[in-house]
Amino acid sequence: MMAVRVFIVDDHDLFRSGVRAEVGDGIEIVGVASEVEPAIELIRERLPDVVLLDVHMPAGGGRVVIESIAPDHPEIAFLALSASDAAEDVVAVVRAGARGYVTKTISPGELSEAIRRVAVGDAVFSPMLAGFVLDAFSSIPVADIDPDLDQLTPREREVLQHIARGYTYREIGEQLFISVKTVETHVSSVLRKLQLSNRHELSRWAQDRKLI
Amino acid sequence: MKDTSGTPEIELVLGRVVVGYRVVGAVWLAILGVITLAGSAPPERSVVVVATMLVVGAWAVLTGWLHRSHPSTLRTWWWLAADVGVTVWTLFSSDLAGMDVSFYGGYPMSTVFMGVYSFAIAGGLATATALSAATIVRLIESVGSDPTNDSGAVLIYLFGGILAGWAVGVIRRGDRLRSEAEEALAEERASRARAEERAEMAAHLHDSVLQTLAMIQRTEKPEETVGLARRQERELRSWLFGDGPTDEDSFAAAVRAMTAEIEDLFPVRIQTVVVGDVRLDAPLEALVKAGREASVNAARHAGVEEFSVYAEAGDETAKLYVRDRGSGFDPEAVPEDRKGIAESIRRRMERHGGRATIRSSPEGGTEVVLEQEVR
Repeated sequence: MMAVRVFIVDDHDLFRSGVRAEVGDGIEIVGVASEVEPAIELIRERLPDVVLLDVHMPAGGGRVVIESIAPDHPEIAFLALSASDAAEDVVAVVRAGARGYVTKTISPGELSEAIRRVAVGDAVFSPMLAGFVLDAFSSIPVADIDPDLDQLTPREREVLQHIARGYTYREIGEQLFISVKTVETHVSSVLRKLQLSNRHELSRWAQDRKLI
Repeated sequence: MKDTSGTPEIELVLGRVVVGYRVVGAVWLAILGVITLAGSAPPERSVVVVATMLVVGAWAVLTGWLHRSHPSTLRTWWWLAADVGVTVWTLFSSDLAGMDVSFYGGYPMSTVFMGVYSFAIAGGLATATALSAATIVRLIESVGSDPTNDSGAVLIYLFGGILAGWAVGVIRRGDRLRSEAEEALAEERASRARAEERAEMAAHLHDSVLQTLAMIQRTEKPEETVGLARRQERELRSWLFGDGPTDEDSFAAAVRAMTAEIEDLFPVRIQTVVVGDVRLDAPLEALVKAGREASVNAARHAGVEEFSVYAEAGDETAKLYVRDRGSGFDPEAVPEDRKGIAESIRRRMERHGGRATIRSSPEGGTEVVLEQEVR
């Protein structure tokens, strides 16, 4: 199997070198950048499979990187990381096109797993992100709901609840008597809904949450 | 559509003055025109008089409209050239109509003001020169001109153009200085606010993070270091993002406070996710307390560094899940101490009409599911 080529965009030295040291076999770090502009340039040049992206950075943060790269390079997957868990930031970067979101406290093993997962096109949700999504979709007023996009199916809801409860995809499959592939399909479909559904309501939700 | 957003206030005011005089000039011309038509010696070609009145009226309306919606147009050379063209027409209109009295009144001066508005003294001089030239041509060529009157008009055009141009220049310069001063003041205020914010942040970081780091350097036991770091992280997080346990009546806040407390008591990290929120009442308080016991149990017996607490508050039920991947137990053959905790969790829930389900296996860890109706 070919190694997954990963590019790290993060303005924290400690984190960059930590990831370099920690990621397992089968993952090759092809470059790092600590600022948005050089990151965009280097990613275009090195064309990694996966970009690990810090949500919080000066000059627009991870979102700007995704928005500049994604239209020309749909094959590059973005995995967002942050230390903060601030809902509106996380939702914004996922809506910009990240295939997943994890917190920086993630263990090295889980990070490698998440990288491999986004590299093959799956979505990766941290328990926190699953919680945000459940919260967001349940708080959209019924009148504004587009049934195809603004609503989660009972199964998707169940999968998200399990993620929030700390289950891995494999464990969810065992619990719900479905295959891991089916779990992945549900998560990808939630990701799609999150990216396409009513922009206005979701941003308002994130805003409101910030004010609590 | 209006594109006045980028136009300074003072330009709108000056523009209004110019448009105002233009309207006055047009009305003046119209009154003289009507008097001419109704007078004792009507012109040979009255159609020229009517056409002039219509053109001047329409031109005044156009000027007003441009000022409202496309003010930058009024400040171009080609507009000014067209404006001078219309005015020169009014100067010669009485001659074309075959009259020996002119009826343009004060209208030509409005072009001089337009020139001043567009290009200050240069514009005033240019328009005044053009009108003076036309007036002088008329003086020489045409029978309907009055030397005293018309030579006076030339003087007024030139003098008015220079004077008004100079005055507008002074007004504009003053306005620019004033707005620059205002900007500088706003900038200074903003930078003072930023400095205050930075000082406040520095003070907070000093009281919290720096103190903790100092303590970490002095501690020798790794568990204490981890505990200190976690407590600090939580504190900093709630200060930065304000999502800490704050509201006494909130179920979500109670759950977060509970897991924070367990993290302080035991060397564990709890992945806490809360969805939705309801008002905390006695049964829900019991739910959180039962969740606390389950968490203590996980922290003490599961042998894991991290476990998950997920709480969900809906319209009908509130649920709380405590799940670890540690060493579970066979519910059929529970050691006495653990059974005690399991029983106390169950009893606590049942007292308020809730439900506790405990699933555990030696290889798969433990999950305690607590459910309570929301009233």
